[in-house]
Amino acid sequence: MKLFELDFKNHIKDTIAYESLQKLKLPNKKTEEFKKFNLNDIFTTQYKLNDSTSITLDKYKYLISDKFYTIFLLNSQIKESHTFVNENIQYSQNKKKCTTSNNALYHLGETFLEYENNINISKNLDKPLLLINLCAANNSFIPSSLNFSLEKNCTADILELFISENHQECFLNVNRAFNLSKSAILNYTKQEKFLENDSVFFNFNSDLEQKSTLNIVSIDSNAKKSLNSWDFILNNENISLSINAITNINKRKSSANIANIIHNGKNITSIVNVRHILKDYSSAVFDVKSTINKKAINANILQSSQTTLLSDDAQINAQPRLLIHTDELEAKHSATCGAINEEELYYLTSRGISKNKALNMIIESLETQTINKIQNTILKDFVLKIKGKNNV
Amino acid sequence: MLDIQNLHVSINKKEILKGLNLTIKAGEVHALMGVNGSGKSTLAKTLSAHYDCLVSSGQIKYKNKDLLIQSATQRANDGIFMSFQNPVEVAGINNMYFLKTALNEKRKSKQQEELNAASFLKLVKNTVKEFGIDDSILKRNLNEGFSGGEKKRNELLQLLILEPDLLLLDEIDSGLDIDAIKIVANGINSLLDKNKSVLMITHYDRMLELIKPDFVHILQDGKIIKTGDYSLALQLEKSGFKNLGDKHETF
Repeated sequence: MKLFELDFKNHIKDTIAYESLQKLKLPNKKTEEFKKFNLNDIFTTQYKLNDSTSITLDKYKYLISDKFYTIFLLNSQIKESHTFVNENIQYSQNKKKCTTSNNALYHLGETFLEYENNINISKNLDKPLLLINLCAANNSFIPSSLNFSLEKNCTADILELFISENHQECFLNVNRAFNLSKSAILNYTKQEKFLENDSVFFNFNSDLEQKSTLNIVSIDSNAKKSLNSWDFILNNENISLSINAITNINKRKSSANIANIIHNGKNITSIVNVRHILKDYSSAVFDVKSTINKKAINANILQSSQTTLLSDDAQINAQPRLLIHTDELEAKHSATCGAINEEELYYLTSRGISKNKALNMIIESLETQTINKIQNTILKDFVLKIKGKNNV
Repeated sequence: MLDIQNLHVSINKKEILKGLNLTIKAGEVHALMGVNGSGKSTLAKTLSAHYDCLVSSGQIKYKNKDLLIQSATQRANDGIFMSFQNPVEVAGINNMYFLKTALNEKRKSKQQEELNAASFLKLVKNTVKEFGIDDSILKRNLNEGFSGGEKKRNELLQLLILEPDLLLLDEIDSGLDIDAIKIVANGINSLLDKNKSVLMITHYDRMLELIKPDFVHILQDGKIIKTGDYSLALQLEKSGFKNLGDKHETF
């Protein structure tokens, strides 16, 4: 099926989502946000729907440890769990409810899904939850949807690790929703190990109650096309939202972090901090719009794009945008762009490390600075281990 | 070990070294003194292939090989170690990871077997214990958030682990209290033997009391204008650079 031609009506499972998609329309070449991030080739590619291939779970059993609760998902379906020993984590699959989102890509995924997956956490977790998403399909469009819910006063650390064993071109449309009750705290990390033929769109939205905190760390790399669409409407008071993301890509890969954050409640903090490391002909988009409406006083907003260009042909298109309709707030936005710090490179080479190795170490160090935003040290060490970094 | 002939070096198109000559034999300790801007640090940076330094003429032989055609990496692996006046902070690179990488790169270049993690950790732990270096710097990122003294101790640790043949010490005593200076001097003295040489840049003689130089050179306007022994440093301490006279004496 070709998504662009919308000749996929036989596969529609959610007509409301489909109607929303029709109304919002998929981004086209003329859409401002996508000027440097052309989606056209994805929407005109011939994909099969969820043509999954076999995968050996045993191969990934080494990731299981006593330090985590672990759930394996294969193409978004739960396959094996080591969590049910803990009654505070409930996994369920329900008939879908209607979801409101201004993001057409969110509805694109929902259109093909009959059920929604939910993970509900009812009490503080004594150790982090590790979700290992294994993707194994053949030239497929793979939609997936998962909602995380945290009950009142609950704190949880979650890492979603995506590992691809896809064949040929695959397009993953991944929807994630965060529903946090009053005073809940979710520290969510997403780490990707995709293949070069994968295109991956993550669509995030949320329902955050007052005094809730959502800290996100996103570590992207290697997918041919990678999009994080952060769509957060913050209606309640005293919410704290932070997004720290890193993109490290090469060749002709492209990446985008597009955020639409709307402040409606008082005393809300929102931080979007994206670091790009771009090699060869790769390109990235940072398009972050924060709207602070009239009643959203005492807001604290930070938008930051930091880019390291490792070649003359790499490109960054950064647009940190603030739409402010109130007087009482603190807002900062910045976009910086530069090359590798020559003094750092020289220091490493002056100790006998080859220039290439030193360069890789510095790039790793930039990634590590974002990984260090992960608050849970067990998770942080796990992420570093997966990346193969800083091992003595 | 090192033979510098008629060295002219520019930084940002400004000539700093203007025909410098210096010979350092194996096992010798040389101190280089001079007023600010005389070219002391430029010489050390040139020897360690800093990208700022453009050599317009002259030659440098190190271990009877042309040094100027070698990269910073090659020079380091061939035994040149520059202790920086103000080492750069590299956020995100763990100090131990960095040091292990540097040591194994050097071992690899000498066709020696790389050290595994256990052997490396043992080596580092023994070294910090022997020389009284605070081991808290090991777990942190490379110089990130280090005080001036911690940076210098970290330079010392690298020096002790990498065991270079030619030590270029650019004001390794600056920012150190008297106890820390003793630790640094003790570490450097422990390395010295008839095969290792030192070129030490300093403004003051407190380091020279602890690491006795065989030769003291006065650098002025990009050239060595006077050479003597330790007594020359003592003379400088008393009367300053102004009273050295115009007579150029080199050995």
